[in-house]
Parts: sequence; C-alpha cells; structure tokens
Amino acid sequence: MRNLKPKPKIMSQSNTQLVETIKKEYADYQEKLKEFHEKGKEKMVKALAKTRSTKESTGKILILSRQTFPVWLNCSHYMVDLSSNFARNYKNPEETLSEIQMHSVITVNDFLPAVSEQLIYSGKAWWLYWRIPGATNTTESHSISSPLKVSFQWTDKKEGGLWRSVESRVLPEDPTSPAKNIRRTCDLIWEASKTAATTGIVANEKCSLDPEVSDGSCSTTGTHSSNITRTAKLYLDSQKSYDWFRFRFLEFAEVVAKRIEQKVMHDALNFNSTSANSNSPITVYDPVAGACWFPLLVKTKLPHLVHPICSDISSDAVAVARDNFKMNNLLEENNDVTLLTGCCFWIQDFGKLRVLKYSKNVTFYPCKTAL
Amino acid sequence: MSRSTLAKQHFSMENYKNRIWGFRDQSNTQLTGDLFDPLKEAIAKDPSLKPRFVYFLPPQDTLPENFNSIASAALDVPPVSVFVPEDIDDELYFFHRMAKELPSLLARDASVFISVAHSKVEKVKEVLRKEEYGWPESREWIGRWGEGINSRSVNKRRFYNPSGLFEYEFP
Repeated sequence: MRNLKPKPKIMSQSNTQLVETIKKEYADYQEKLKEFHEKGKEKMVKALAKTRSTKESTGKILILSRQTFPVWLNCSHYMVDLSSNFARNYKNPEETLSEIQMHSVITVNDFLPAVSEQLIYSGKAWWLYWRIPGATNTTESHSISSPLKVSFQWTDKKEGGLWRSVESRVLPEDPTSPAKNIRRTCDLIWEASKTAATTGIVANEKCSLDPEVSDGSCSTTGTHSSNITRTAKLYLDSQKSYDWFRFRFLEFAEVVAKRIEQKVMHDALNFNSTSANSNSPITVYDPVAGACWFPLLVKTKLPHLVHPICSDISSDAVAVARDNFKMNNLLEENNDVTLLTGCCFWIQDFGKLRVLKYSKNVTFYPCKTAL
Repeated sequence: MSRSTLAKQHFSMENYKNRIWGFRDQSNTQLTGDLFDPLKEAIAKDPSLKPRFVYFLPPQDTLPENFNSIASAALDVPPVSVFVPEDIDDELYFFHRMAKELPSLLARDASVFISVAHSKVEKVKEVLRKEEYGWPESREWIGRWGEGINSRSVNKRRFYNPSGLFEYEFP
C-alpha cells in the first residue's frame, strides 16, 4: 500500500544538511535563551537603579549554566565591594547612564559572573528569583550624594526557598590597599558538632574573621545547643581566585578540617609521639594550589592548628594567595604560611592567558626558561 | 621573540621576584622546580614541613584539539589549572606522578585527599591500586550523591560539584 504520509522535511535532508540544520537551530535556541537571560537581568538592573521606589520589586532570571549552583549558594550573605576609583574608571564617558545605574549594572554583572558567557549556555536551566524591598524612607533610597549601595535578595525556589542577601557598596579609596580590584565578601557558615566527652557540655562557638570588625578571636560559651556556628568572612581577590567558590567546595574543606581535628584528638589521647611534635601545627600541603583556596579555607576554619603549604605553577596565583592570606589576617609575621612557587611565568592577566607550552623532557615548571 | 617582549618579560619577572620570593624565610630563598620539587627542597631545609595532610585537585583533562583563545577566555580560569600539559595525552598524568612521588614526602600518619571528576573516579582508583605504587585503599567522603560530613548542610541530595573527595590514609 502506498504511504501517503508526507515525509518530514528534516528526514529528506542529507546527513551533512541535517547536521547543519541542527547546528543552526541550536544556535538560534541559544540566542533566544541568552536574550531571555539578558532581559531578566535588565529588569533587575532597572529595579536596582530605581532610586526612590517604595514598592517591593520582584523578578526572576533564567540561569543556564553547566555550573548549576554557583558561588552564592554557599553564601548566606554576599557582598560586592567596588573601589570608588574603579567605579569611576569603569564608566564609559559616552554612556548616559547615571552612576547609580552603572553601579547596578556592575553589581548584577559581578553577581552573575559565570552565566553571562554564551558558551556555557548548555546546562540545566533554573530560575533565580529576586526581590528588592521597597524603601521605607528617603534615607534608604539611593542618592548620588550618599555612598552608592545597592542590595537585593535572591533564592532558587519559587516558594519556601531561603532568601539570601546581596549587598554592593563602594569602598572609600585607599591608596595603601593592596587590592585594587573588585572584592567580594561572602559569609561562610561552618556547622559542626563538638561534644566535650568528659562533661557532656556542648560548646557554642562563634568566630568572626572579618579583619574590619574583629581580631579573629573566637568566643566559646558552654550551652546545651548542639550546634557550633563558625562564620568566616573571607576577602578574596575575586578576579583571580573565586572559581572554587562556584561549587560546594566548602564541604571539601570541612571534611578535611574535621579529619584534622579527629587526628589531633587521637594523637592527644594516645600520646602519639610518632607524629609530629604535639606543639607544632599540622602541615596541610596543596601542590597545585592555584590561589590556595583550599588551605585558606582550612586555615580559616582551624587558624591555630594548621600550617598551610601552597605551591603552584603560577607565581601570580601564589601572589594572589599571599594577598588572600594577608587580607584575612592569616599571613602572620611569624611565617604562618609557606608559599612555594613552582614557576616564574609572567601571568599578569588571566583573561589574556595563552596556553603555556610544555615539554615532557623539560621541567614542568620551567623556571630556568623564564628566568 | 622580540627584544622588547623579552625586556617586558624580564621586567615582569623582576616584579614577581620581589613579590613571590622568600615568604617563609627572610633570606629570599626561592623554592622552585618540578611539581613536588619545591616541597622537597623546603623539607630538606626544615623537616617539620613534611605534610601530614595533602589536598590534590590536579588538572585531569587533556587539551581539546580545537582549543583556542575564545574557549580559553570562556574558561574563566587559566588553562593550566584545567588541562594536563599540552603534549601529554594521559589525562591522569598528575595522578601517576602523585602516586609515585608523593608518599616519600609525607609525614607519618598522613592523609592524602584527592578530588577526582566523578566520571574518572574508577580510573584513578585503578592507578593508585597498582602494586608498584603501593597506596592504601581509599575512603570516599564526598561522591556524586554523597552527603558529605555534614548531613544537615548537604541533606542527602545530589552534591553539586564536578568532583568527589577521597582520602588515602598512610601509616
């Protein structure tokens, strides 16, 4: 019997044509998704730039990324600091945007660092819901004469999600500050249980490592609560060292910190003299440390217990690591951190990095070549 | 390479020397070398630096054939932190080196934590099980579906990280 069903157009194409068609369709699809994402972002920027709105603004942004849950999922509070110098320089004089609008653009772009790249529009989609509470009085609204400050909240669930806060502010210019870049701050909440075996009393400990507000000391009080909350506020050179932040690497450091505590406890109970001297800190070594995010987190968690050793191919990364430790008051005068550099490349701008050439028979970190 | 480029690089190197040398001691000792060599040198000077805990998250992908500057820019991280050296076709290159070279540098009762892409876990375990390397059995702390050490924070749902966390305990 003759088949009267029309042959689908796509099936009549050759393989090459089919591949081309699919590629084109996919590219168009990506463009549409990108447009969708940009529109969502634009709405948020406009809402942030509204200076005297008393109404709450809400919206959502389509996020498409392989990196499904990015940096801020780990953060209960996320802050973007911009030097006023940076904000001024960033502004294109030809643009008519006001300073507050530009500030909003920078904040949003900074907040969504990974998802604006067209190339990574290939992961699972999710919605980022945001809201900006209405200003209750004029002092809460933005004003050019007051320090620039934009803030909003976001969540990944339409209902019942945990709202997290993002705040952007402009720092006063500080010529002595080593960090001229944008800086992000993120409150990391550590949670762990610690029971004093002998008494059954549980400690409740709160630590702040924000150098601006604290000397980094912890206060410990006896309580019947089973939680220990340790808040570590880390300053990071965001342009070069925040990639680890996008995933749940916090848990990685937490696991290792917990194991360190267990071993120290075990040593103490067993008078383990075969391990290192009981008074000396535990060395934590990362041979491919990058900006040393992992030892930095462990050191933040256990500041008096560990001695980080960071080593990396990139001298620039090691320099960033040094700055990060310094900013967090963890690089002390008594050489509290060992930073080793595996190479001497002149990597100054990660955005313009070229692929480094290697040879199996030459040292992997070609210091001699570079020098 | 032109003279001006060389001069620029030399200038940059001078800057970096000032920035990166001698963090540990003040005598401007620069510890450089191939992967574990800087640590070897450091240990030779100060044996207390033998690590008791190691964390190793090395590049574990080979450089894609069509990798170019656009792809590099989209990476948002230096390619050296993602790919094994360009002319090496073994994605587990760094794990082989770790297996062979790291144990002799460890302190007693040490733990080595490695982060491995979920899809490569079995391959890496296989490497480390090789008799010639003599590594102990691993313990999985965080896997693709793991809850981590703190079940409250991860809550038994999928762990959103491309890598897991495994511990190898040495005597």
